[in-house]
Amino acid sequence: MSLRLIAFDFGSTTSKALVASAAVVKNAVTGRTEIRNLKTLSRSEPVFTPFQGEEIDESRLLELVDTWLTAERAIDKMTTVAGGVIITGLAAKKRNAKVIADTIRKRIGDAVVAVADDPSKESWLAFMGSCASLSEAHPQTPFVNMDIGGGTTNLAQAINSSVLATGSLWIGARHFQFVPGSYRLREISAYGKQVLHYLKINAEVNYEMDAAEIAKIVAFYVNVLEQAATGKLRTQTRFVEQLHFRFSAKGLMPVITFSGGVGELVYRLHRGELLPTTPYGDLGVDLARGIVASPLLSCHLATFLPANLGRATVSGLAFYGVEASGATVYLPNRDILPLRDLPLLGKISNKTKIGELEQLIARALSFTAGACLRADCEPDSLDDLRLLAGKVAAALKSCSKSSRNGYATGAPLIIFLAQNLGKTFGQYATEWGRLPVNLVVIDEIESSVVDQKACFASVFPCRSDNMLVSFYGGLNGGLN
Amino acid sequence: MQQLIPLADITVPRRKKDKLYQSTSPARFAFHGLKALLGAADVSKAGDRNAALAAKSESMREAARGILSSLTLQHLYDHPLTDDEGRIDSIMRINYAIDLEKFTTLASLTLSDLKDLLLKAKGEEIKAIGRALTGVMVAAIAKLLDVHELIFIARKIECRTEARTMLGQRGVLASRLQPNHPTDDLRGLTLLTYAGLSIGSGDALIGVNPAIDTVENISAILKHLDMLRRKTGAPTQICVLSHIKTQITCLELGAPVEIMFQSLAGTESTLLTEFDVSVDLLDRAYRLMAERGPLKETAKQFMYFETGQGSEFTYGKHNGIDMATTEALCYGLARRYDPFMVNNVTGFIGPETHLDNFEMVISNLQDHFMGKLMGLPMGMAPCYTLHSKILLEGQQMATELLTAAGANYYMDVYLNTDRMLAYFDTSGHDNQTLREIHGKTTTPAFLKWALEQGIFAHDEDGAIVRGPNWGNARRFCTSDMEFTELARATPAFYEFKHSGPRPVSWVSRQLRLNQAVSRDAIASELEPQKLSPPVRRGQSKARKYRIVETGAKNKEAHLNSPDLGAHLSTSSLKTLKPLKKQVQIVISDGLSAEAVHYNVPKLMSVLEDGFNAHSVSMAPPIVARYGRVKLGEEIADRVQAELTIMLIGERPGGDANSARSLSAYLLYQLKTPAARKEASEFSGNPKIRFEYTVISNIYSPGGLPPTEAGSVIVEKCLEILDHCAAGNRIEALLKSKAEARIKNQ
Repeated sequence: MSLRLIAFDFGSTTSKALVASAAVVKNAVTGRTEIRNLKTLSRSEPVFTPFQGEEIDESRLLELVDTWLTAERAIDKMTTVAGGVIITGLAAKKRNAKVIADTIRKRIGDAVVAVADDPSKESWLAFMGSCASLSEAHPQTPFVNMDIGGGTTNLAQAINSSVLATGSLWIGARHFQFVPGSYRLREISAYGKQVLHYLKINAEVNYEMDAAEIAKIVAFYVNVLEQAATGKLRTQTRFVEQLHFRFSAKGLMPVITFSGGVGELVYRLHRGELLPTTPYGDLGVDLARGIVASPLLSCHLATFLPANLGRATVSGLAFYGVEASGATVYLPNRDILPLRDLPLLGKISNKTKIGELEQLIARALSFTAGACLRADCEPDSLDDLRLLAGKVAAALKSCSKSSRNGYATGAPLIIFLAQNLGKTFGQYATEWGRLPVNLVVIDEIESSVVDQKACFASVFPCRSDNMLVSFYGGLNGGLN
Repeated sequence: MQQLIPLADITVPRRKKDKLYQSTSPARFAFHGLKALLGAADVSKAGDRNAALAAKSESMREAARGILSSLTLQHLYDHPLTDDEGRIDSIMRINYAIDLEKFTTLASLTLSDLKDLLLKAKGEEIKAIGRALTGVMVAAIAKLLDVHELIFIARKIECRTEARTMLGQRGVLASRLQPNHPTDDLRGLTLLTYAGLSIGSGDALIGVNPAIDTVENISAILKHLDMLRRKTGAPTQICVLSHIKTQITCLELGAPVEIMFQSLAGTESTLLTEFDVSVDLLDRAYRLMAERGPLKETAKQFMYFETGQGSEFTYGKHNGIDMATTEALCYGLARRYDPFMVNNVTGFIGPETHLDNFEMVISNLQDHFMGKLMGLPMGMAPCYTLHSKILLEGQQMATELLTAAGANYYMDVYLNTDRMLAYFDTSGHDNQTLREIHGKTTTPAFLKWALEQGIFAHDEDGAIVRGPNWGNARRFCTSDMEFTELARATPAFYEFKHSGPRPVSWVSRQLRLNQAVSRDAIASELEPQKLSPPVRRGQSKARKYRIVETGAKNKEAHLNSPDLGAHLSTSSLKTLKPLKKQVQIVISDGLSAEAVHYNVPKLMSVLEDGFNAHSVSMAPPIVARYGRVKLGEEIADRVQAELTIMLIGERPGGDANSARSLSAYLLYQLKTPAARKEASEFSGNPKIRFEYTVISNIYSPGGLPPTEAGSVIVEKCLEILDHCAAGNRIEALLKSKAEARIKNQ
């Protein structure tokens, strides 16, 4: 089954888009459904995010999106389209994010996931977009990817393409903005000011920074990145942490890779390319030079080259932003799809106490637009499945008795299962369809560690029996 | 392009009454008609025995051969073989498109004379003789030759063909690279292609048997193979072996159909009703390739056919003709289109046609001889499935003999195991081993490329040897990442290491172990006591089954005669009474009792829970040892269930998981005239009595877990009962309902 995946990355400074084709296939080795045969069809050049002051300029945004989607107008009807938008920094201010998401949905349709202000997810996307295949090719080797953009450095530690830890630092190219070609300060971000204060550098807008001061800032940034590379950030430098990053190296030095705009500059400089002074009016080139000069950070530049570099996040969003479910899901009424921005409330298994399980289900049913839970069953045990599904059925009946309105009529309850048991679980959980509840059980969803921490999920239909699922939701809880 | 003679212009003598052929020495034997004589004259093979055509003793066989030897070619010419309705079918007619001028010089020769002539003549003369012979004549002579003679005569004949590259030169042993993947995953297909090319395979063709026969999928695979060919620079041609109708459409839409393929049969009824192919369709495909094929400017030939002794018999459409003769009739049909490649696939069907190594080897030698004599560029695919007694060693013996006989090419199936088709063919390692033993090379164009790639090299004496890059599939990938990604999607892609031209020892051991596990699964006996789950709390007693017998009295009979398992024994027929329940579940071993033991306990529990919850009435489940899918129809007739569910073990392929794979066949009985009318209109089959829905690959891990399969089956059964339809018809009904619902929204 064909898929068209369309991803957008809207940041404080620049925005980009990527269109890819893929297919939902069953892996003959593992038996699992996968999204594969990924192929980039088009990639936009980064453009400035169309702001008017601090608000998104809606008409310019529409023009931009239409330009990016021109080639996609004639998509074959048999192809399922799914899209993702990641919105960060200034663009992620509440109203802006909604405007962006709504504009894109008008153009692509309902199957769009909007991720806003979720640094953990960003780190994961950047890693997957740049290093997933590289990591799979070296399954015993730990990797740390540093996606360095304008405002943040998103960190991910992984092994065999499985992300184990994420974090984020307020380290980026554009905390200090200069007149291009010089070091005359044009703008300093709040986080830039904190760094100046820490380094006891007296500088403000219009000040011409000297080489020593630039070197001091770069040295500070590089030092923090070196600490991050070992998974142990020191307390004194915690003020630059947006999301705490810590992992256990277990004696193995990870391979350090870079992505994002500054990441791309790192590899260009390493290859010997000459770059002028502040060509983009920021600290990007200087920071990249500092990284290349660091023995710790640069030791793998020649031997491990990630993909997509400057477009790692948008690539990650296009290629990995959605997962495909199995084909044997429990979905009595397909018309309820798509379901967007459903809160993920928790996990149930046969180890969950009955009271807790009932509370979770009751809470889920209280969301009129629907909510989700994860469930965990023993893969080969029918008894385990029947027991857990029976508990869910009992909880559903109990909710019905105690609720004033009976069931939250029409409110879907989604249960995600990693095992290929969705249809049977759903049947037992609804007593073979007898309970009047809008239950959906989606199986073969193996979520990454990052997804385990996600707060929201969206579910979209495919032309086949599979479904597309996306997990997200960060510090601010997404768009809701 | 060869001119296609209109069938009406081919002269065929009128059919005649069957003659009685009698011998007196060493004993009295009588053969009623040429078909009986031809059948009795051949080596005893399972298919001919099952069709009651084989001689019952060696004396009878030799008597038949003696009589056959004394018949003239004119006699055979004057007695065309007819179909079951007494007609001369189109394939028999096409076989009569011979060089009549040459035939008149040979007509008075007996078969004995002809044999002596062929043994003395040189290659070009033999080919000229072959052009004057029908398939029946060629099959007759084949039955009079021993192994030495089958090899000796065939090796004199060189049949060269040319598409993008040339095949069939003396000294060349080519291969068709067959990178099949069970789900047509292009990544797996890519890696298997790289693996084959890296060991010098694919010089004849890169040809894929697709899992999904749709225009979209076939076009996608063709384009992908074309990309791989260009990317690697390998001088060869490509083909996807879908139904010819699909390939025609792909070609019309611009896909690179470089070589057009079709499986052939030796009787019109098999070709038409089982393969959905007619001579008109083949003619159309040939003309289309000549007009629009991508290689039309340069290729002399562009068609590819596969055949195989026994297919007519398995469909019950052999018209009373023995397997070797129907095979030769296939070759007569293939000859019409001057094909680029032809190979048999003898051994593919199972023990009901070829029981053991000997039968398979003899048939393959006959096929090669017959095809070459009729001027065909014969490749060979001596193969087997795990439920026959044919072994890897038998296959290897066949290839040694066939290489001596001058076979043009073999298949390259990765490590012998085709996971799409669940059978075992030659591998690229086998092909290279045979080249080194017999002093052969790949095609010249491919060799030149392979030398440039370091796949082959010259040694200090100038001989061609394996080069430094022989077996290095990774070098076709742009990165380790790409290689890893491709390996992820390729089942059982063992470490790609070699010892000389063979896989390393541990890989060979693993493959043999997988085969052994699968053979054990086939040999396992169904034990009903293993089908009940442990008694649950609150459950009063274990599940009870009704045990019935089929016509097969033991495992050997079951494997060798599939028809026996399709019917109940007389005593069991009497015990089954109409219960008139909605659902009847039947459990049978099929080709793997292990699959039943492993999956049925959990599956049955879910089925029972589901049907009880929906108040669907169920008859007590039946267990039938030594059963086939068709048994479900007879049982359904007896118990008068609306829907019969056959849970049956699938034929194991080449790994441990597939030895435990179960299928569920849902047989919906069309009881009312209205239901039969609708089903008949939909299917085009006026005699339809049952519609089938199949849910296969039930096993865990890697397939559909039995616990999940249970609810899939319940859901499908409810849909079938609700709509009174199954198979493609229920899917069409559900689809139009869904479309109507969307339209109304």
